[in-house]
Amino acid sequence: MKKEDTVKLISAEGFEFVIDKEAAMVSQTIRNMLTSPGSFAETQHGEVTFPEISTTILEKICQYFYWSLQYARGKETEFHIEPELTLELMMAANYLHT
Amino acid sequence: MENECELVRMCIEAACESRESVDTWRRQRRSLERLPSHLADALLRRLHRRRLLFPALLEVFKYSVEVIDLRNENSVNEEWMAYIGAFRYLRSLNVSTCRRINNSALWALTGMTSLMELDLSRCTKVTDAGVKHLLSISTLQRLHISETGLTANGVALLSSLTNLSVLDLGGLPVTDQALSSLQVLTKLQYLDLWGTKISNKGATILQGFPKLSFLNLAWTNVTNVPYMSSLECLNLSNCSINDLLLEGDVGYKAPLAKLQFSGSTFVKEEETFLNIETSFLIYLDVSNSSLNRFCFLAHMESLEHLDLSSCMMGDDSVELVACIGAKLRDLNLSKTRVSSAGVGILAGHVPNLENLSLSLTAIDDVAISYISMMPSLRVIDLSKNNIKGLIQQVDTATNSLTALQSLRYLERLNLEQTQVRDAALRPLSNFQNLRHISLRSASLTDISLYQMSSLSILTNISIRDAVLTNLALDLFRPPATLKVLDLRGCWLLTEDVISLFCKRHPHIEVRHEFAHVFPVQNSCNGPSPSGISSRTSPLNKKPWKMPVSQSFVDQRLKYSKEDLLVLRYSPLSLAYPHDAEIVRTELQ
Amino acid sequence: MSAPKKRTFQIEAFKHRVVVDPKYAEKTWKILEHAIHEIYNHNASGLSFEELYRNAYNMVLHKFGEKLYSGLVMTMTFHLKEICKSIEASQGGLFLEELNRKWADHNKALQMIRDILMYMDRTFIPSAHKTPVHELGLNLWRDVVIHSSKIQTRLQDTLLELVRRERSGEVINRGLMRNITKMLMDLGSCVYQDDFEKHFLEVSADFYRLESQEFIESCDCGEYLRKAERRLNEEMERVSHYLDPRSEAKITNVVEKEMIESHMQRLVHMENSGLVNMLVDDKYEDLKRMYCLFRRIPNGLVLIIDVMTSYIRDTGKHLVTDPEKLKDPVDFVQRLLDLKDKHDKIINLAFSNDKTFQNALNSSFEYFININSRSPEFISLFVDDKLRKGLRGVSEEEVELVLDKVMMLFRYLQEKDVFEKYYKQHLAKRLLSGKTVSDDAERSLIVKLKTECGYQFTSKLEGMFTDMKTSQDTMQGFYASLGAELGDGPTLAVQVLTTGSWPTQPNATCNLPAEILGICEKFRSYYLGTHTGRRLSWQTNMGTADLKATFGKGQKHELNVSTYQMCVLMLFNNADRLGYKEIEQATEIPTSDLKRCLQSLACVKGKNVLRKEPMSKDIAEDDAFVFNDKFTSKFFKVKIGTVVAQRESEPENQETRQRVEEDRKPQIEAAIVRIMKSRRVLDHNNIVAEVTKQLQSRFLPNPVVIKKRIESLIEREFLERDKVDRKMYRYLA
Repeated sequence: MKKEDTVKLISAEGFEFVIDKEAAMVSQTIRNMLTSPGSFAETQHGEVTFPEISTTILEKICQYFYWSLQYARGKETEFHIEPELTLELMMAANYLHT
Repeated sequence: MENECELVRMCIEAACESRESVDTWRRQRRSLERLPSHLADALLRRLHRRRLLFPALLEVFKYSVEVIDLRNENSVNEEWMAYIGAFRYLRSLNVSTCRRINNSALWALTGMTSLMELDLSRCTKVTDAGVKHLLSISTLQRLHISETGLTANGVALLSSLTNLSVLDLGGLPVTDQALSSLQVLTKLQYLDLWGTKISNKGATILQGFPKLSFLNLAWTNVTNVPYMSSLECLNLSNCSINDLLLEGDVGYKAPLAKLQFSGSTFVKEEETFLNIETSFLIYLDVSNSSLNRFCFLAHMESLEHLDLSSCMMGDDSVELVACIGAKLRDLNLSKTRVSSAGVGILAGHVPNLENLSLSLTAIDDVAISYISMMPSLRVIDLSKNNIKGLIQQVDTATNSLTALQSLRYLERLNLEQTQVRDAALRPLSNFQNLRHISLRSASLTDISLYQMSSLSILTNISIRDAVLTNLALDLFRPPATLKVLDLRGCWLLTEDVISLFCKRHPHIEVRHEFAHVFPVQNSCNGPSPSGISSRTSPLNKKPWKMPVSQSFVDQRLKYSKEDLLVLRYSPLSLAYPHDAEIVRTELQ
Repeated sequence: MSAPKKRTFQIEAFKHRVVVDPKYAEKTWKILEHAIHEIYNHNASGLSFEELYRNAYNMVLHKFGEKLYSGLVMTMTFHLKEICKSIEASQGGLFLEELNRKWADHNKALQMIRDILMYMDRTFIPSAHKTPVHELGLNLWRDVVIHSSKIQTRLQDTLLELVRRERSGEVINRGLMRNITKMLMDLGSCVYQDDFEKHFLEVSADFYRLESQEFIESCDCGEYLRKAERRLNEEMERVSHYLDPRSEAKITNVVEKEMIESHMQRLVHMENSGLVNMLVDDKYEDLKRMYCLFRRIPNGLVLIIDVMTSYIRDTGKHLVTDPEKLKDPVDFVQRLLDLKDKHDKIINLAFSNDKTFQNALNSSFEYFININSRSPEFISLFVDDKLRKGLRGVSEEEVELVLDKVMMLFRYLQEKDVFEKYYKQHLAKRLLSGKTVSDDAERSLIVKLKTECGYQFTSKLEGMFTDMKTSQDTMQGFYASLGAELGDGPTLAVQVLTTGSWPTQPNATCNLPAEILGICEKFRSYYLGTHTGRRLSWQTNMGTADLKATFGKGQKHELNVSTYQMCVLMLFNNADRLGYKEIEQATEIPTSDLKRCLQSLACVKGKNVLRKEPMSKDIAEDDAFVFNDKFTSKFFKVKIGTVVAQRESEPENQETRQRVEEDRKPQIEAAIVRIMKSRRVLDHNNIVAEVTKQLQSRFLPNPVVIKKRIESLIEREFLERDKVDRKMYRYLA
């Protein structure tokens, strides 16, 4: 993966997830962030910190991004969500507008 | 909730998968406290639909939910209300037709500082005493309290809810005096007084509401309605109407948009309309009224909906409708004396007409060619008419329905109880947009059913009382989009063939005397059927499985032995609410 | 059983209460307010999007959405007021540039703000029914900046001034203009319309009103139209460069109205340069321009057509009523064709073959051609001339062209049956004198007439051709069987004419010379031998003869003469001098024919094989004729008095007309009978209408004549009048 095509997402605990920009932009919020005019810090450094999203949830979110891209390409698999994660994941998804 | 948040939706579905799923997160207090209100509302809705909701669970939503809709839910009682009363930010609560709601239940709501909307319609146990509890909810803006146990005194008490803008008092014994007590409610915009004891004297009081725009006085003894400057919608159905809306000062007339006079008697006939500013009128319903002449229609150039069914309307008056046809979208002429000539007069003058009903009129097949000249039609009702679908010429007969092929937007066609036979239905295969077809005639045979296969986007087919055979149903290949197949009255069909068909096409709802599945209720808050899952989302292509049959959470833990014994003889079955008798037990 | 105790349900207290610091909202808002300030001050780089987004999210989550929104409005308004001041302060020409720059800045800031406040935009705003952030930003800009009293008028004035300058030839900054008008359009189409377009149109109308007044005083029609066209194009170009496309129709309307519509009449009727002059002078460019411009205004083309039509009708009418021009029929018709050609060309090149113009031209021609009742005759004479000599040596395609033009004129005729009569006569003469240029051309024209009028029209004409062919065969047969016998005698060429097909002639007397009689009789017996049951009669007024003559000094000439002339000349074989009466007696030729015949033999220069005493133009009864020994001619073969088709004299014309009228009567009657047979009962007006319709391809029946024919049919018991209604007629089977 070329550096220019990736973005780094950092969880509250400091875990770093490097993913494709295309996947990250499944989230409308991240998409806006990366395409907004005016040089915000995130675009400058290519990394976004989410102090209020835990590592487990952020990981799940990244999994969802890739699953969503695959699904859009026609691969119809299931995306399983553990019930104990649903609340937090839901709020993170709402926050990230995905 | 917006549609773009797919993951959110998936999370909600996963959270409400089963009782076990719910158990995993109901103690996650911190998350629940931080839940945004629209997510909380959606989660609560889904829990309710999935029959996973119970009073104790309500507690977790105390700080997040703003909207609760539990209408028609018979289990809702004091306990539920106790929890609901603790909701910090509740804006809107609907417990209409929840039969167990009584005055004590309402006590739980006292002092709620956020509640703006409350619906208690048809909670018959609520009486004047219950109203007292409501008076402390000063933020209340919209209150529906129709068909409850209130008396005129109770209604008068409502005058202290000074923020009310919507008040529904239908079916209550409201007297003129009670209404006069309510005069202080100066913010009132919507007032529903159907079936009350209001008289003309009370009606004059209504002038005192400066912002009143919606008024329903159906089924009352009011005959004279005074001038009200901001009135937009007025319902005087089933009344005897004498004088309406005399002019105010300086000849100013109220900007009425909607008038309903269904089933009413006009003492002064069409003169009644003289004092009304009709040029802004969008909606007019004079069905089943006593009107004989319709000259008043001529000034209503903005009219979009017109209901003249069961009126003394005939071909000679159709011209009056045609004059104002330019904006007309809905027109109901059923049960009138209008014939094909009348339809002919109408054709060409109604370019925007989408919905036309000519059920039980004097029309015949000639009318169909006129109907084809109304380019925007979407829904046509021609039921109960002398239509054969054929026009007889010298020695040949041509299909009259072919003319309708020019209607590009035609979606629904109702030909029930006409004389249309199989051959006449052939033109249907060329209808580009047809989604609903309704037929009901003993002369229809298997051929009609076969013809339906070629209509690729049909969603609803109704062929009732026909002589359809088992073989036909067996071989029938329904269009891919079909959702509902109504075959009631087709007495040759047997149970086994029907159930086989249902098994083969699980996504089609079949209606027939032998069909076991019940239709899905329109209100998603009704009990979920033992049949079909209501959504087939592309993501959830799991094979459909029975939803949780244990619709209750086992509440036995909460009751003592004595209570359980009392409850023993009142089974609360939720599967077939229309059939089962619900025994009310007084838990007091 | 005792009543169960009243239940009180206990609510468990939460373990962690949610504590919302009352100062929390203010703190959070301050962070966002600061960010908005930084954004407007172009100082936003390095800010963390996530942090700002999260703060906004938290405010909405904790139910402080209202505070956030009103804070946003306040802050934005504050900044816009500052911006407003700075724009107002800009000098003169820099005003627009400053406005444009600040607008771009605002848009960028707005997008950034909306992005960080996106959560509020999608959750709080819809449920509280507030204006979304982007729209809010535009509305505030509109209200605070554009509609600030100073800027509003200044903006309008500046824009209109620039347009005015551009119209007077200056170059302006179009890119800047486009940005500004686009800004107005983004703020709402009513902003664009009210703040700019409305005034633009007003000012433009005034401008063009003045300018057009100026031009019309100083320019002629062509020049004016050029100027108008230029201005029109200029405006369209202006729109495409920096205005809303929907303004195009509006501004072109203004130009069309002020420059063309208001001066329509004056332009068309302008002295020395108006429409008629353009038509006369074939000014294709100018006419085309006029057409294109007038097309844009209501009734513009109608005006042109009216003026053009009356001009053509006048010209045509003069042509057909000018006695000078009518002297030479061929020339007359040629002029008609030229006139048609001229206008066809104009319609083609200048009026883009517009059908309405074509129709107007056609109706005009139809109108004036039928004013002169001799048009059918003249057209036939024209054809005759062409087929006789005019088309000699001309290519096949050109022949077709000429014939098609003739057909076109033919179609205009209302009295096609008159044409038929003349055509028949002329054709007979051509055939019999063998003087047709091309058989193919003749046949081609017949075919065209057949296509136009049907089989009945041409059946007799075709019969004539058949007769000619048959006669050839007959002659061959004659010589084949009797060739040896005839030996050295005069050579005979006979054309046998079927009576019905050829124009009827009164049977005239004539004594053929003895030398001829013999062979004629031989032919007669030969013919009747092969065709029983027929009768032959010699048509002496239609024949020709070739004579070999020897004159005084021994010059031999071959004389081509008519039969009459032959009879006369043969007399001089036996006598040198003969008096009129003697000639008359000997030949028994009718007087008028004889006179004409002698005229052509003696009174025409270069053809006077006879000398008349006393010499004069007219023939008198006591004239004497002498064989002209001294006759000379350059040519060996001398044509004398061929029977040429000529313009009829007045009395002849009357006669033909009468015959035509006679012929029409049975046709009208036949039509009436046909109609009544199918309709059974019909009233008078309808009969007249139907008859006219049925016969209109041949001629226009006179209603008076129709009435007379009906009376006649009633007398002959074909029809009867209804007893109750005098206007109804019934068919009697």
